[in-house]
Amino acid sequence: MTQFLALLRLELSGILSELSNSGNKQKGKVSRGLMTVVLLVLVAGSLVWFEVRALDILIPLKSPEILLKMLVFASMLMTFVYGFLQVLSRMYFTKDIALLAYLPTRDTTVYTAKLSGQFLYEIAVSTLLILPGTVVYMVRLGFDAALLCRALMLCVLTPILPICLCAVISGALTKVPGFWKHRETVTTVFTVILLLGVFTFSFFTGQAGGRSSDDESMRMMVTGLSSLTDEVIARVPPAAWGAEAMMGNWLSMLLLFAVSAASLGLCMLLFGRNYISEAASGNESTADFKKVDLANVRIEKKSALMALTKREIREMLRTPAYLINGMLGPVIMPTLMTVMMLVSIMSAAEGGIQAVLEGLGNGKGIMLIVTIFMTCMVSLMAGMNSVASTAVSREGKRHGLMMSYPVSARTIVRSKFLAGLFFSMLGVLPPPMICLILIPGFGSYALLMLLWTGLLAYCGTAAGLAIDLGRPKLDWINENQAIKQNMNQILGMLLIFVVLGIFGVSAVVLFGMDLDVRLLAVIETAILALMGLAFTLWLKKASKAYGRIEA
Amino acid sequence: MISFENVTKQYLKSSVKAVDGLTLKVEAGELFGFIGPNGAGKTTTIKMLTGILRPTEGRVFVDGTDMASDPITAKRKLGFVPDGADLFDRLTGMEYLNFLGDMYGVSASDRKARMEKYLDLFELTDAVGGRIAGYSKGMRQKLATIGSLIHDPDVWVLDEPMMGLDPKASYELKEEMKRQCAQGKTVFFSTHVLDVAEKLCTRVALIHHGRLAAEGTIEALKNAEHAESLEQIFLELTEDGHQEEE
Repeated sequence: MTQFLALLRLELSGILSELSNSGNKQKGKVSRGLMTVVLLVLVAGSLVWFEVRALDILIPLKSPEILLKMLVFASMLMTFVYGFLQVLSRMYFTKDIALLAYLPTRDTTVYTAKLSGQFLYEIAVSTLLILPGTVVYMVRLGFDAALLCRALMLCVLTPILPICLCAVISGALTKVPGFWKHRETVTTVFTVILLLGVFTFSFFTGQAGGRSSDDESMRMMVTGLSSLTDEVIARVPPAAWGAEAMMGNWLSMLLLFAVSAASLGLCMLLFGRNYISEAASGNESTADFKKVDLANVRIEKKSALMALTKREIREMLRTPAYLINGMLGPVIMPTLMTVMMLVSIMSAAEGGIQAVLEGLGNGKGIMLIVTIFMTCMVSLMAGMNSVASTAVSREGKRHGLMMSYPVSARTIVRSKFLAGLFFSMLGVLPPPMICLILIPGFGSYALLMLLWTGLLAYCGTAAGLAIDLGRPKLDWINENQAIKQNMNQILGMLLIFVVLGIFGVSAVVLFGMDLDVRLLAVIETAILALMGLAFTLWLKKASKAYGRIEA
Repeated sequence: MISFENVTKQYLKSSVKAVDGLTLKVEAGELFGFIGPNGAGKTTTIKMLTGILRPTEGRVFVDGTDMASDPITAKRKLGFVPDGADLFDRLTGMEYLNFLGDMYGVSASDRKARMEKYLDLFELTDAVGGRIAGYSKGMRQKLATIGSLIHDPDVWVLDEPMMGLDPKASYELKEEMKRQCAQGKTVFFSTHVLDVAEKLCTRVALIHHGRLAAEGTIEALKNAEHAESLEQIFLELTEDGHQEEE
């Protein structure tokens, strides 16, 4: 028991340090704390707002209990979807296994401690989800001590089955031949699927009410979600037990408890006994190197700038943490969103986009408005790219190595800028092409959109890199900390939002002045070019700091 | 070849001088050992020599080129094996060597010839196609060593180069260091392994608390300190209170 508690403490401190992003530094602790509180308030606030609005709709329909069922279902679903990667990485991809392997402790103890750490984390998440909803429900429909008691029990019970399922899938995956060799690919593919799934779900949920009033859209969203909940509950017994338990069926509560306990036991039986050797095998199987025929290998000499840029791009593409957290979404989402938006307009409106444009007046002014709108939408999503805003931070301990090379700081900074711009352009290049194909008569406006999104990508890259040059975070231990827990990523995004704001507001002002469309386009381009110039100057000044960074 | 002129380094967030008024000259063809206890200032000195850190005071010259005023020319003359071999994990060994070749402007033919020679010498040919992330500590150290020789530098700087190497690789490294010196090149390395320094070096310097405690040939130091071995000299000079007595 002492060993279990010590291991659990170790696991929890690992989870907490990941969440708090504190490292060892005291500096910035207050601002980070404030930021966390603000984020928590925002998330909890949006949830409570949704719950209040959902009850507004469900009470007149005489079915407010659907909200409670939705909470139980959402808790189970989110634990499974978001928990899978966490279970996989914290239980099998973790480096501390090598340190735990030589301790005089049993495999099952380590496995149970690790699984328990994950449970406690998920219990906290499900409490954040279920408890406020239950309180809102009781505020509207009267206090019910038994309901509160059931809700608290379900906060603990609902994550167990999904996490056990994640543990079973993860454990089974590790036994698949070749898994360890391709583990990073598995992680990346799963994240892409998750990203696409979440994006498609939120797009269609939001779009369902896009053409209606606010109340109507909310009603459609709530009824859509409640029918989805009903459907899942009817097909997935544990979700049904949870929902029934929430509604006061103690037999279902007991059943959920019994099945959860049994699945926990099954996990330990199946994967606990050989856990350490299974998890540690990940470190052994990587030494399978591809042979290189040195005599026939083709070697090309490149410039230092090209070599540095290529290295940056390779690192970005080959590091799942960077790929997933810094680049994949902003590269895929603008294209996905453009296609979904245009296709849904085409299928929804009679006569397609042409009819919508005609309905709006179909003058050149309308086309320019469409171009500005699409530019803003695309750049908003592409602007979340953090390749440039973490470029120096990602060097970490290897900053010294970079400094030892016989190249100027300017060349190094330029390579980082080029790599950042490359990934930004990947995100903004396809949407104008799609618009050209799907919007009739878009022709030259596609070029204009390309020019604007390109200029905005330039501004975002320059600004992000300048921010990171000013205050790089080099003292990270794992790659996630370098990119995900890096304030420069958020600052870079905020700055590009400001730039977009200036671009959008100036467009509104210029339209109000009733200027010629071509003049308006020229002025908007000039505004972006000027901002681009300002950011270039900032970057030039900031790049002088590179040589003075002491890692 | 290498010259430190009254070099001092004080880190921004520290009140202690990591290196304090270091003056040292290493000539061409010398195999120079830089020894000292943990935290004495060895790595800081090497970082200033390789242009990673800027001295707070004083100047560092590599073959007559001031590292502060013309760092690119000075760095071109250096080959550097960093401590701990923190390399670019996501590249393959081959990509890393090619990357270094591009950094130092090495022609494709020279690069290929040196790769073949050193990969064979350090027995890394079979692993060079794999990602560095999968390398053991010793393999990383070997790759860093090969990479530092890819441009045939005039000055070879190694920070704790024997760390993690197996006896054979360690032997090959020592032999290569001797070969480089025989060609008139300068080898400057830091180490904790005093036996290696004693057997290998033409001259050594001992740094303690950031200051140069002793410098000279092994024989001269033994005579001056009336000691029988470098280990004895090391223990004598790094004993607490010794410098204060001096």
